[in-house]
This record gives sequence, C-alpha cells and structure tokens, in this order.
Amino acid sequence: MKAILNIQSFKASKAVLASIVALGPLAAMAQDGAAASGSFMSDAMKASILVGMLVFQIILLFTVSGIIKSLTSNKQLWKSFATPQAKGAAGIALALMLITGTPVFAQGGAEATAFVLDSGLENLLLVMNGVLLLAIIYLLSTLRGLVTTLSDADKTAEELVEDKGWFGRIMFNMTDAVPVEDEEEILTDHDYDGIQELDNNLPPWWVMGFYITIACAVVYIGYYEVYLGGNISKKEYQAEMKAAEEAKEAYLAALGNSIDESNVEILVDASAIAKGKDIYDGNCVACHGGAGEGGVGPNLTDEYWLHGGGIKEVFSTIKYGVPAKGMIPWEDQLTPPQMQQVASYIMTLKGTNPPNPKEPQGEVWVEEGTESTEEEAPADSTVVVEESEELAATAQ
Amino acid sequence: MAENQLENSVQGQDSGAEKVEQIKQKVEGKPTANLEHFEYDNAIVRNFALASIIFGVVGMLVGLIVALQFVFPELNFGIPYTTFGRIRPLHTNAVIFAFVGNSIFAGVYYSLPRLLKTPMASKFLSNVNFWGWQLVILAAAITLPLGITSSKEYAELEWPIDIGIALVWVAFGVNMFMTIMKRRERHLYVAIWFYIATFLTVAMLHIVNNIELPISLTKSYSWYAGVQDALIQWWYGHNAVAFFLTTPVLGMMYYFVPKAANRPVYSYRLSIIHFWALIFIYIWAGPHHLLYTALPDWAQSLGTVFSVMLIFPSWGGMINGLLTLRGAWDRVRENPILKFFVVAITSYGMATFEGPMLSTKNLNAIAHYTDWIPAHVHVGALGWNGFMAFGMFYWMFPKIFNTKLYSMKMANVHFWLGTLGILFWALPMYWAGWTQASMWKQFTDEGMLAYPNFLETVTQLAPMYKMRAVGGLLYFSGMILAFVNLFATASQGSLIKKEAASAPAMAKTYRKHKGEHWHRWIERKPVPFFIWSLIAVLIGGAIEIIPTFMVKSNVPTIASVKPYTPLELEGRDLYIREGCNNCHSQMIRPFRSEVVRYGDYSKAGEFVYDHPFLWGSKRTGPDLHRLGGKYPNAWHYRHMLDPELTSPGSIMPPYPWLLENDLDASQISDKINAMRTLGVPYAEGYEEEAINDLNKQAEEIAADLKEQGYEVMSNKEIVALIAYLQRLGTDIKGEQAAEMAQN
Repeated sequence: MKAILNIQSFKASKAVLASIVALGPLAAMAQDGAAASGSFMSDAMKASILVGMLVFQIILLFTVSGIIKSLTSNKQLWKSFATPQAKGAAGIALALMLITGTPVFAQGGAEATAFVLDSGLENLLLVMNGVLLLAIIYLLSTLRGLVTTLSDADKTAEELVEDKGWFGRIMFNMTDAVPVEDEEEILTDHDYDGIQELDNNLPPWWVMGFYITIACAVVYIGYYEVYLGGNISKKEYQAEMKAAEEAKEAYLAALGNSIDESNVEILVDASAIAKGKDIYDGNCVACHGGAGEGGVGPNLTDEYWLHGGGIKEVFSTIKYGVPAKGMIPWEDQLTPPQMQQVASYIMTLKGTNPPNPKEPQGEVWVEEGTESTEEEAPADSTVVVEESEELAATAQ
Repeated sequence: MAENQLENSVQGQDSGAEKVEQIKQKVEGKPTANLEHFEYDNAIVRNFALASIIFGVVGMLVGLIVALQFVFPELNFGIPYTTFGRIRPLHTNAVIFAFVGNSIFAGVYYSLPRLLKTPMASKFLSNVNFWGWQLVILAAAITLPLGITSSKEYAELEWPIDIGIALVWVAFGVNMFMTIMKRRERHLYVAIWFYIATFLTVAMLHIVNNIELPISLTKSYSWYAGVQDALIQWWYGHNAVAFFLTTPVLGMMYYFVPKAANRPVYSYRLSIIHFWALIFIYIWAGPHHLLYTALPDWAQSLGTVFSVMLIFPSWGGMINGLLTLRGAWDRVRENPILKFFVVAITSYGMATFEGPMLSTKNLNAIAHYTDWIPAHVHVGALGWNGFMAFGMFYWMFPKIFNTKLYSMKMANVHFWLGTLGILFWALPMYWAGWTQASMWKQFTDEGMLAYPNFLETVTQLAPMYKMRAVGGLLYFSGMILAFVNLFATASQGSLIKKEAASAPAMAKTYRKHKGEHWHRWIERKPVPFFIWSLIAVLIGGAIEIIPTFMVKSNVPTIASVKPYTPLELEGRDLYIREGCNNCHSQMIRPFRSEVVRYGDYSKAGEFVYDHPFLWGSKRTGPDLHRLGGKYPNAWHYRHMLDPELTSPGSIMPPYPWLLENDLDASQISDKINAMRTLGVPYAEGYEEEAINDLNKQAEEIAADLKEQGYEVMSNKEIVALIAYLQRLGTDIKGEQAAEMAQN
C-alpha cells in the first residue's frame, strides 16, 4: 500500500516539476505586471492578483514539501527514481525559479529607492510573495540535494567530496567537520548527565569571519575616531545640509519662477482654488476652523485682519508665520506655489459668514488703491478687540 | 583521569558510544560502596514551569491588546489604567520577566542539579526564589497600570520592587553556588558557565541601573541625568537582552537540545571560545541603542564595532546548537520538540545577525525609532525565547509527570501556529519600519519634506499594524494550545516530586590527565571561574561609562539651560506616569529630515537636569524635544482632551482625566530637595518657595486657557503637563541661532 502511494507521489512529483517549469515565468510576468502597472490596474485588482499569487505559492510550497516528505520515507524507491533526467529536471526548475525571481526583486528595489508608497498593503504582499518564492527555491534545492545524496549513498565521504567539484571541496574545507560516521574519533571523555561532547575543530569560516569583524572594528575606530578625529555625526550633518541647500538652490534656479511675497498674484482658476482648499483642510482647520470661522486662530472670513488681508500680506503671514502668537511658519512645509494657492483660497472665504464665527480681531483691511475709510471695529466689540491683541499673542 | 570519568558516566545511559560503554563496564566492575543516593526536587521545577505558562498566556494577551490598540484606539478603553503608555510596559515586563523569567528558572532548577549530580542546596532558598519572583510579578502587575514607573525601559518598576528583585536574585545565586559547592561532578558543564555569567551580570546591571533617590514609596528619581542616564540605561537594556534573554537560554539549549536529540554537543572547543567571547564583547555593545544621539561620538563608535564583532560569538552558539542535531535531522521532521528547538536556534542566528547590522550607522539611521526595531526584537523574543521555552516544556513535562505528552498533534499545530505567527508579526513590521523611515526622510525637489504632517506617516501603516495583530493572534493561539496541552499532560500524569538518583561522591583529590584541555582547569574551579567571568563583563562597561561621567568635555554644559520650574517638574512626572516616552522620543538626531521637521538637533548639555532621561526609543508619534512654543496652550488642552480634535486620524488615546484630576503637588519640596541632592542647582531654601512659584505659573497658564475659551482650574494636572510640554527644548533657542550663524 505504502509503495503504491509512493509511486503515485513519485508521478505527482514529475507533474509538479513540469508545472513549475511552465508556471514559473508566467507567475513572474504576473508579478511584474502587478508591480509596474499602477496606471491601468486598480489597487484592488493588484491586491487580489498578489493574494492569488500567494495562494498559488503556498499550494506549491506544500506540494513540494509533500513530495520531499513522501520520497524520503522510502529510500529504495527514491533511489530507483534518481536518474540523471530527474536531476536535470530539478536543476532546470531551480534555475528557472531563480531567473523568474530576479525581476520581482529588481522591481522591489526600484520601488524602495524611489519611495513609491502608493499602497503599503500592495508592497507588503509583494514582499511576502518574494519570501515565499525564496522558500520554494530553498525547498527545490533541498529536493535536488536529496536526489544527489540518495543516489550517491553507496559512495564514501571522500568520493562524495570529490564528486561535488570545487564548490563541494570549498564547503568541506570551510566547515572542517568530522562526518557523523567518524565522530567516535573526536568524542571527548566528558559526560554530564548523559550529555557527551564532541571536539570538532572551530569551523574555519567562523574563525575567518570573527577575524574579519575584529579587523573591521580596528579599522573603523582607527579611521573615524583617530585619523578623522571623531565627531562623525556632526560632520555628516553639516555635509548633508550643505548638499541639500545646493540642490535646492540649483532646482529653484532651474525652475525660474520663484514666487515670493513681493510678486505673488491672486489665483482665481477653480483648480488652483481647489488645491488651496485641500491644503487648507489638511493644515489650517485645527486653528482657523473648517470654514475659516476661527478657533484658536483668528477668523479668516470677516474683514478684520491682524497682519493685513491682501494676497501679499496673507502669503507673507503664511510663509513666515507669527511665531510669537503661535502661527507657525509654513515655508519649510509648503512650496511657494502651494502657499499661493492656499492664500488665494483664503481670499475666497471673505464675507462667507460661516456659523460660530470668532469675534473680529485687528483692523478692517482696505486694499491699497481703494478709498480709505479708516473704519474702526464695530462699537460694541471695541473692548474685545483691544483685549484680543494680547489674547491673540497666544491664540494664533 | 579514570576516577573522574567513572563518576561521570554512571548516569550516561543515553549514549550508545563505545567509549562510554567501556567506562561503564569499568564502573560496574568496581565496588559501588561509595555510591550515594539523593533526590532531585521536581516540585520547584513544576512550579516555575506552570507559572511561566500562565504568565505567558497573560503577557501575550496584553501584547495582543497593545497591538490592537494601534488599529482600534478605542481599545485604550478611555481609562488611565489601560492606555498604551501604561500597559506596554506591563506587556514587556510580563513576557520578559514572568514568562521567560520563570521558564529560565524552570530550566535551571531542572538542569543544574542533574548536571552537578546533587539536589539544589537549599529548599528554602528555592522557595524564596519562586514565591519572591511571583510577588515581584504581582507587584509589577499592580503598579504599572497605576502609572507607578521609573520610565526606564525594562526597568520600569519602582525602587521597593527593585530591592525585592535584587533580594530574590541573590537568593537564586546563593542557592546556585551552594549547589555548585556540594556537587558530585568535578567539572562544570558549559550550561553552568552560562548560568554563572547570567547571575553575576544581571545582578550588576540591575543594581547599577536602578540606583535612584526615593521621594516616597512609589516615586524616585534616577541618580544619573541625561546622557549619562541614557548610557547606563542602555548598557542595562542591551545587556538585559544579552544576559537575561540570551545567556541563560543558551545554557538551557546546551542541556535540553542534546538531551532531546540524544546527540553529543558538536564542539567543546567552540563552546569555550564562544562563551568567553560572547560575555566579554556583549557588554560593550549598549551604545548602539544611542547612535546619532547626544551620546559622545567615541562611545557610539565603540557600540558599533563591538556589535559587529558580536556576530560570530553569537553564531558560535547557533552552530553548536544546530550541528548538535547532525545525525538527528530525520527525527526533527517528526518530533515537534526538536522542531521548536530548530526554529528557536535559527531565530537566534537571524536576530544576532540582524542586531549587528542594525548597529551600523547607515542602517541605524533608517531603522531606529521605527517599527523595524520591534520586529527585530520579536524575532528574538517569539522565536528564540518563546520556542526554546516551549520545546523545553514539551520535553520536560512528560519526564517530571511520568507520562506521555497529552497530544503530539496539538504540539505540532502549536509549532505551525507559532511559526506563522512570527512571520506575520515580523514581516509587516519590517515593511512598516522601512515605509516609516522612507516617509520621514523624503524631501521634494523644492527642499520640502514630502510628508510634513507626521500623521500621514502613521495612517500609512494601518494595514501593517492590522497584519501584525493577526500574527500576534496566531502566536497567542499557539500559546493557548501549549497551556491546554501541558496542563492536560500534568493532570493525566502524576508529579514525581522527588526523583531518586545516585552518583559516587566526588573524590577528594583530582589528578590531571595527559592531553587534558587547558580549559578543564577552570571548569573544576568555580570561584576562579566566577572571578574571571566577572572581569570579562566589567571591562567593557567600565571603559564606556567611567569617562562619560568623569570627563567633562563629553557633556559640554550650556549656560542657558536652567532647571525645571516646580510646575514643569510636576508636569514631567505626569509625562512619566502616563508613559508618554513609550511613543514619543525626545531626541532629535542630526539629520536634515529631523532638523527640518522638529527643529535643531539635540545637544548633550540640554539634558543635564533630566533625572531620568526621557529620550524614548520608538516614534509611534512625533519627537517632542522641541515641542515647547510650537503650539498654543489651548492646542495642548484640546489635544489631550481628544487627539482627534487637533489631529484627525491620530491613534493616540485621549487623556480626559488630566483635565479633571487635581494635581498632587504636596511633595514638591521633597522633589526640589531630591533634585538638589542629585546636583540640580536650586537655591538653598527654594523648596519653601516652590509651591508659590508653582501656583503662580499654573494661574498664568489657566488664565491664558480661559482667554482662549477653555475654563480650567489652575490646580488641574493638565496645567502642569502643558507647562512641561511648553518648556521642552526652549532653553537654547538663542544659542541655536548663534550656532547656525556660525555654521
């Protein structure tokens, strides 16, 4: 019974190997598509493709491990199967998986450097696909190793090492482990509650690695702390700031359209106003209210202004802020065009009379060139206005 | 030679090796007149094991709640005792000290007597160890939700509990050494080397890091300030991982893995080299938690290079563990116990490779303060500590209860749930960390931050936080299975309370035999062994810590930095009570992205009056070091009432009780006096005036809030907290401008 089962799984294994060969590139194409096609594929589609890939890979994973499991339980049968053709098939499958795996990671790498973060979930799925792919590759190489080991079971350790070629010899020399069959030779006379100890040599790769890290440490301290005199962080910071400043200046010079408070014009087209509203909703509502009615900060919809109500003045207030009164400068967070947009949006709020307005603060703003009326705040709120000068010191 | 080997081999029934057979024959040929009979105490092992399993369920449940709070902030439940800032330390303390701690004691109390062929020396001390440790855990479970904390990570417990821990730990150590002295086995096995190093280093770390000046039974201030406090804390914090979560577990690995696999340890000489290298190098690596901070540059560099040198000593343990399974791999496939061990040791190898990589400045600049670090930690905690404990319990329970494991199948399911849980926990968090760092650092071509609003970088992570919670749930389900399986095993069997054993007495004299390894000498001399390991762990700490305290140039003073006002001091204590430092750092690193986002980078001299330091280690929320003056008082008032009022989408819990609670300023003169004792230059007699200054400043803030439309009594806690937050980072604004001009 067991033998029959094994023959079935043996047949199944060939089928799976074939399907891996066939499906591997297909799968990779799908992944490439999913990663690169931001424009024509919806997030939901991409996510479902990636989930589908995950499911496929999980099934594959279980199939391959199932084959390994069932074949290792009957060595005799496995041996008869271990023909050169089978070895070749496993090798081809492994190579194909490796090749098809590469673009996925190249894609991932490109994304990482460009910091494209359209969907965290999608990126995560992509990575999980990659991890599963690695697991499959690992299992396939195990399978291949199994073919080699079981078919070479009659040979001695030395012959095996010879068979493995230069790579096998390097591995053998780097580990310097006494084979399990010969371990009596290095068994110490220690015995603790039945626990014995072998005395294998330190693995040469391990010793080498240890020496290399020690050398790295000496070089690192010698170079950075002694030769360069330390203070690495501060030096790095100064270099970073300098480079950033230069890059920014170069960019702005190339752009050639720098907007500032001396030349800013009011924007009236609907798209600019809409962008301005987005910026306002994202940054200003906490203090000035959802409709500009004011809150911690002053009302932006009435005709009273503390720091001037013209486009140039509003732009300037946004740009430099009024730090003493709690209005932060936005020049580090918004670009000049963005500040122009949000200032233009604020200009559209004038006279909208939203509910729950904050009391007027400052003076009536009169645009230059129009007739000056020198109008004070309404009589009934005069007291409030005077108080509010001080109040605004913290309010804004 | 012969005599000693003969003694050793009496219990060597597991081995099939010829050599041992020969020795056995010799033993049997000898008269058994000097064979002594004694009993191992399994009751204490069972107690620790059951405690570990119960607290494992509790600690992981709290962990699951904490993880879900990132997704559903409502799970902070709107009461002080269950907010993230308070129960995150509860989770870490529960899993580290209650779950892993008890599992370590179970492992030591099982393996140590058997390796020494003698029962534990004092049943009384064993019980002091057990009940004392549970009492400490109980005290932690009560005080942490109450906000009684010293704020130092993994050392949050207040001073009376710290003293309790020290006493229990000493009881454990004395018991261990008395047992070693009464041994019938001449040489100490490698597991015991690790137990010795654990005992003495944890004692040293715990005592030095917790030197505090008590104000009351529930409040104290760290003896150290700012940079120095940070160095001591992370010398402790890092080596708590090294000597509480690593060395004792390596000791357990050296006992339980060869036992469960019935294979000889791979390499004796590797265990010698990796043991000494590990304990010597580990202690230096603490400063890698403080890269790019205000810690002196040379100390940071030492932290980096010693971390890199730590890879191979750590991997020595991994190699010796994994290669011990050579020739047993066929059994690994079928035996869940060995599977747990294999994944545990592999996780150890991965975490100890990743750790040194994260200690390089390039990677640290990306990963620090992000979710990458919790991911790294949980690979170690869930993989290494958790799986070692599970493997050990599944192996040990049938032995001490004289039965079979209740269900092998259940253990297998547990293994897969746990493994998937680790993957689902760690992978999303690696991705989250990378995403977070990328968004923090991204600039536009105009030289602006691409994501100037910190909140964007938080909401972006929501899907990753959800997946992490799923991972936590998987791992927790496995823990429940372990609970059921192990309790069922215990109840179907019956505890062998006293396990009979026998071994010949140790001969009075020992004759060194030819060709003996030189290291055998110290293995039979516990006292020199203790002294040499003490020297090994003292050197690194001393070289890093002493100059940071003694050499003034390491912490350059800044004239404009002044002590906190009494109200700010009270506000700071509220900040500590609420555990704000669990989500907010106070350390701006010298990066363009941080200086543009937060303000000028933090200087060592700014923290000289910070007892304790509050630099934090994770930015779930933004850095707060230069928060002072950034927003109006009313903004803070609204933000504490409900963070979503000022920051829609925020996952920070609301703190409405701060608006309602009266500030308890009754200890302000004691606090001023204590600070003066610690070197903060308050004038003589200021403790008498402090309360007046406190009230005056509180009234100013309350008046300001009133003007903004928020009626609040000046004696409410919120006023003190606002005072502290508005002070943060403001001392050097003038000097900052001067320095910028200079650059």
